[in-house]
Amino acid sequence: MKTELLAPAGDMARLKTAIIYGADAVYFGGKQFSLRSRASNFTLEDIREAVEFAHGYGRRVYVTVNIIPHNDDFNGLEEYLKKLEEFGVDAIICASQAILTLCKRVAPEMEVHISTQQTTINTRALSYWKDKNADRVVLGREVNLKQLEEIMGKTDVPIEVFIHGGMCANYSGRCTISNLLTNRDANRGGCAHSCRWDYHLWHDEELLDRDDYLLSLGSRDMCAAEYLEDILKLDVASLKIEGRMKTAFYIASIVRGYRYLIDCYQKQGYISDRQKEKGWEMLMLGTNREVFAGFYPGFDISKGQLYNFPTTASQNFVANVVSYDRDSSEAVIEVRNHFEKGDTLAVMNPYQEDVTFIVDKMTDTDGEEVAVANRPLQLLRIKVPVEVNEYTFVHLVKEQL
Amino acid sequence: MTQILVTVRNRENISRFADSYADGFIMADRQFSSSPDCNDLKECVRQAHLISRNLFVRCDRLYEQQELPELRQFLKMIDEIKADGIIYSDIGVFKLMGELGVSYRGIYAPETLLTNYYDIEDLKNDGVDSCIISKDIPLQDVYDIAEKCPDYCYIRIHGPVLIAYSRRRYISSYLQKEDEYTEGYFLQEETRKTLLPIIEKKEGSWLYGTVLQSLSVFSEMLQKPFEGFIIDNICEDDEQTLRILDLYKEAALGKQQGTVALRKLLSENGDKEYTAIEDVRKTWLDKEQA
Repeated sequence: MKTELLAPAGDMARLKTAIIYGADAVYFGGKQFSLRSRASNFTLEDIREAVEFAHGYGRRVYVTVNIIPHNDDFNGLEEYLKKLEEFGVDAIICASQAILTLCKRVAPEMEVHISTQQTTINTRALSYWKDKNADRVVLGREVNLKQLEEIMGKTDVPIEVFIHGGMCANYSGRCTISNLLTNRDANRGGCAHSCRWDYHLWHDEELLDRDDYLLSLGSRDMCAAEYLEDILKLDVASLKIEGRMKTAFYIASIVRGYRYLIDCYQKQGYISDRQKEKGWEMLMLGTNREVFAGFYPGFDISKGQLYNFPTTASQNFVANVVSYDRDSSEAVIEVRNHFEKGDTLAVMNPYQEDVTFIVDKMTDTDGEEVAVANRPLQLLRIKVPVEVNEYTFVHLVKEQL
Repeated sequence: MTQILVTVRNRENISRFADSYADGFIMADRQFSSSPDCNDLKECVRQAHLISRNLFVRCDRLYEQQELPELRQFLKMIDEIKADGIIYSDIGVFKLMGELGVSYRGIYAPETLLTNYYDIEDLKNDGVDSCIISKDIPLQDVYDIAEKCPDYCYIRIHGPVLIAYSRRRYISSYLQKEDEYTEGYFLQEETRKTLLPIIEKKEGSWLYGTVLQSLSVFSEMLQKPFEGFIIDNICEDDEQTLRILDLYKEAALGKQQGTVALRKLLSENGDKEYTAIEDVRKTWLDKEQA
């Protein structure tokens, strides 16, 4: 079985990026019924366009209907599901028995995938979802590699697992810290990430705070590249990247990295050390928080927690490409982050290795030479070493960050 | 008649509940629950039945794949000792109960997930015996669910609200020392006063929020078609639970008596932060709405 690479899409641009960079399938939320309420999310018209675009490339589209619904949230849901089916959406991802049942009744052509919000971590729970005709189950991120191996040997339900991205500190769907501390509903798209805040630790009257940092429940991000070969051997149906709120650059670099590693495995039956190293470099380009391998190696108290939660994002992505002139090998780029004449930049294209170059000249739209690019959205013309297009990203080479 | 189930921590105290307002007790085995061990479930069942009360076993963990054989044995044992039911959070337990053909009742309690009557109706159709409505939704929504699924649902009416359940071991990770941190530990968000009880075991961590109480509206709740109420006094001793039961017995007489009982609760427990069940609000979905 060919294991699918599934990428998030916060909006149409990110959806197209994910597909161009090699995702086999994409998932996103509509304006209603979805978690990540602050992701841009798709209107019905966007969904139709997204399906057309993805299917044009032979890729699949999943729509998240993964809120933990309250009574009122069912209003309009039946019509919504019928619309999704009409547009050709391949599956919905849901966390509710009733939504599964409803979808099977009113939109039977669509698959129903059970969200990780249900925290399915054993074969008996899988068996429950199988009885309800679920087409796929996304396992809880707490399942380790040994458990996954046993689960895969004992079920015929198609399984999806997370391989990259942010992790809920608690079992997904079983956390309402945000509700208590901010009245924002973690299970209906309003999570305030209160797990990442700092907490004092008390034992009765005694304060147990360490000198260097307070306790945080927050997690490092997951990067399971180290275990990818082991996971691929198990024939899971889908490998999922988290991050509907993340940038297009993040999506591009993470999808490209995993696409490369998966292709190596599917071509050769293994991933060499050199290929692993190369894939890791690609993945780290878009990763701006400390990572760990998730629970795949098993739970370890020395790994996984993130204290002193960082508030600044990596700024190595410096520009988008607006247009390219083949004759002059010049591109018009849109500045996103600071860089200067003399910096070493790299061009990132899908299915290719980065090509680096030194910025020796850049001009603005009036033809004036510019020494420092520090105005976001400013258009600049620069010479680039390879052909680029609207899906190309320009980034600073890591060594100079 | 609506059942009142209450947490009992210590087997030696069961007989003290003989004249209490409770219809049944919730007790636990350490390995399969978030709670402290009651040491001898068989003896607990015997003692509960001696005073004509039901005994429910708390099985509120999510179970990992390698635990299934032991879990299966445990669920069989519960049948053999003639416990009256279990309270479980993992839907896999429902499947196991069916495969084993057990005779006790199962109350499904996934804490945060049951927030509408459609899901509960679906579970009922699947054959789930009963379930606990999430405590995270407004009381009117809870009533709507109970009325649409009469004599099927439980609701927690008292006790610290579980706000997070994790496979991680937060205290061990922070202190870099593996231990069982089960009694008397609290987290306090840096800018807030509220103390959040936290329990950590080998199997993970459980974090609780403020203490839910329903005294003012209890007589009204008794008029609704719930199967039962749960007083989950997980962080308190049995002495305190007996006192709480007395207050609910008083509150059952009417709204005015409920207000008096609430005043007593607050004056006797000035150090605790309570949330009235009628004050559980509709949550905002988004930062913009907040």
